[in-house]
Amino acid sequence: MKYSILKCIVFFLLMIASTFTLTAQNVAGYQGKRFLVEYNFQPSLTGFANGGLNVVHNFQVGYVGTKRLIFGFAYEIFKTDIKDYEIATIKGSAIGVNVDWFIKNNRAPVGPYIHFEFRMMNAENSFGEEISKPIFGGGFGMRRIIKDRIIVNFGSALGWVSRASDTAGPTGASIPEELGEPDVQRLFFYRFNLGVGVLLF
Amino acid sequence: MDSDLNGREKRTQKKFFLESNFVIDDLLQSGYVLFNDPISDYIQEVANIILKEEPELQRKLQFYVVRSSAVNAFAINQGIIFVNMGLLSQLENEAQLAFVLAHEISHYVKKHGLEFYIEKKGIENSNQKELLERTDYNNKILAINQFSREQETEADALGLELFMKTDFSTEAVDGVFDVLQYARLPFDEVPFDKSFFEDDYLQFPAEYHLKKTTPIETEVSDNDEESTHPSIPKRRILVKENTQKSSNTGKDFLLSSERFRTTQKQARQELLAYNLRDHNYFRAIYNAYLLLKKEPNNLYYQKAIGKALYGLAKVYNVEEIKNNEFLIYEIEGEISRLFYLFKTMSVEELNVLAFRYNYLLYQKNTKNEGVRLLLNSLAEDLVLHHPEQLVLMKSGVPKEAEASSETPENIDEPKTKLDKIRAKTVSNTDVTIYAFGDFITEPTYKTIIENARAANKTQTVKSKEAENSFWGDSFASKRKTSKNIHALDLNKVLVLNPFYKKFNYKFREENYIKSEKAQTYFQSILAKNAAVADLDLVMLDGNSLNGGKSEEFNEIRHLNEWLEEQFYYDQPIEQIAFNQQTIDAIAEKYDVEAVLLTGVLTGKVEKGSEMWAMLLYSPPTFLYELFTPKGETAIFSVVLDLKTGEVLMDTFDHVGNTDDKDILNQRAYEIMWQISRKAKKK
Repeated sequence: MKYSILKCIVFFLLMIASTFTLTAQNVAGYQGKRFLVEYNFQPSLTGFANGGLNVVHNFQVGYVGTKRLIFGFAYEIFKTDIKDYEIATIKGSAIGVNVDWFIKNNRAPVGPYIHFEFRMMNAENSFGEEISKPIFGGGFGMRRIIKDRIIVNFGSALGWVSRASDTAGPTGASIPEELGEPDVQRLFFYRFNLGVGVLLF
Repeated sequence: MDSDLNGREKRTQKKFFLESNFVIDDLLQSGYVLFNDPISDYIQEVANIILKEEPELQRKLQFYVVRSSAVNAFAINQGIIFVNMGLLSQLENEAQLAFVLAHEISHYVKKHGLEFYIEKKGIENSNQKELLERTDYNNKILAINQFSREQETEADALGLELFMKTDFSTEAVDGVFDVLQYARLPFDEVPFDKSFFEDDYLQFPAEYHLKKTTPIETEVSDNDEESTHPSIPKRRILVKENTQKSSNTGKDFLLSSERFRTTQKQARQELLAYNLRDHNYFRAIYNAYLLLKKEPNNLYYQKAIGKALYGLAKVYNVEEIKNNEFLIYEIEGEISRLFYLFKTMSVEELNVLAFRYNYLLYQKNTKNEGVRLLLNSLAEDLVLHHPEQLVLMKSGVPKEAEASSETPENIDEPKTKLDKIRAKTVSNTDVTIYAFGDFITEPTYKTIIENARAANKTQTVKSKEAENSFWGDSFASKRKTSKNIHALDLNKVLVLNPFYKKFNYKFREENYIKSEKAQTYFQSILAKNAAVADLDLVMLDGNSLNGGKSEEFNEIRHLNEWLEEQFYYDQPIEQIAFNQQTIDAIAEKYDVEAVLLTGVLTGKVEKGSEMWAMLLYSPPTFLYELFTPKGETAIFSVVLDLKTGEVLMDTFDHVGNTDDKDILNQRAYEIMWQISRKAKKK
């Protein structure tokens, strides 16, 4: 159940992507190559408050759908310290979709872009408690291509993880917060993004 | 370099040599300069007479002929003296040529080009506007070869000194000033009458004949304050003072009068091609008319008139172009009668005249494919623009040649207003209805007109389809599948002189050395991306040709001239170029249908304030922006059909970044991809 909303969104985005691709018949991509895979190393700046360097590892596949847009599917794994608990950590994964919109006169996948993302996060703390939350995010980045195939991607990303205290249960009473929730929020809130990838075909 | 110059002057001097070297290279490689031809050899021999006692100068100097109709010659600091074909067409004898050469040699000896450049740079630095204005060869040459009035006077004096050492007639000097004074006029002044275009079937009303021509302006102002050149009267007086001191025992010809006449004739023949290339149709007709006086059956001259009439008809059929003063007015001398005739006749009459002239030419030369092409195109225009005129055309000879019964003198007699209106009403219909009378029943005529009607129908269907399509009809839209995306379905294209211009900070001036390096780099980018897009390229680039490839030089020159004609007007006008047959041969040789013009303009600019916003929001991007130069880059492409001149594709990409390799690759691929892309069947 936990990924059902996400499935709908993914399906919807892929529908948009294929529609764009079929009708516009445009010259999208780089030398005809439209599919890309990337690994992005995302050290969190706000995550330092949790007690050290905490990183999100992002793997994504992307498809250059139009001159300006890359539609991506991402899988992320992360692990972060929990503030004030020396041995406790929280680790988990997130899957989701993102769209990169290339600005000014730039064309995907080269140049500066604005990034939008939606993730469904699932994590477990050292005490076996599970947390599942959606993440909404955005950011700014720059992609360059080396040797017509290697992608270098760098920028920053902001992410907002909804927390228990922000929401209310069906009765209106607030839901108690699990241990590590604020730490995950800090982890995703402001990350640098340094990535490498390959243009496949 | 001179050691007594200060630092700034030395830098300016270095820059001058650099700039002028590149401009001259450009000129030499453009195909506008003749190499290893008899005319250049002849000029060299005349110069050798002047430089008989100057072997060092003889060794240093080179003489070339430029394919330009302007009556001019110029010297550059690198020791090259260029003589325009236009000047050779007007000079009267070898002695006049010798004086012109002596004058130009003096500019070189005195290093006037450099001197004036340093002086000018001291006053004003070239800005972007000036740079952009220097886009054609004439302007570029002017920019690096401006001389002051004092320098011109000095060159006259030293030139005369050199000239007086020869056995040429000193009277020639005065003759050169006459040539310069009347350079704006054709090379001869022979009465012109509308009867040149008339016969039993086509006669124009007497009103079309200009009775009195405007007298040729003989008085010239000797006020030279606003000019870089001293006035001709002043120069004439100064030179006369010196020539009068010696007795005139010299000759007009020392080498050979025959060689001079041959050179002059060749120059005059060449002028026809330049006039057509430059859309100077009245001059082309009049020059051909002058040449026909001596050789009435010369097909080349007749074809030039046929092509000029064709060009005029094309221009007249597009009202906006006709009214935009693209036509060069001829208001002095006999040529003004010819100008008046065409200014007075209606657009229908012009179309009929152009068709008739070319048809009669074709009758005499049925194997001439060039004339046939013009005829087909003229017929299509008649069908498209003047269908009612075609319906009116009658066979046979006009019963009463009313229009021609009046001699030009008769029109002086007073007429009432209604008489004049009636005369005009008659002229518009009766002048032309028998113009095809002698061939209207011929199968050739019928075939041409039927083909034109069929072509017109296809065109109309295509236009309607375009109107009904979502994007509508637009410039170069024929093979578009969606907005700005083309599918030319070509597997091979000719690339002509691809260029890469790198500018210094804020586009103030071109960095010639960087541009030259980038040129080769750009070619490799084009070639690589064409291969990815499955497109074959034939690269014709004047910069990468070496001395042994004169055939390619000529091809570049023909293609450049063809393009000049295609892009003359500010809106597309499909017409058969004056050198279309040569272009067809080039297309056939390389097995291509289209030519691609492409280039990159790039320069560094100031970094914008938005960079600082990134410092907070995205430090990695900020660091990237901080350490990479900010630039503005544009890449453009135009693809033209070599058969018709139709613009098949035009793109202009403002990249808005530095000219990074990945961006250029991406954009170059886009161009190649659109050229090779197959249109999807509906």
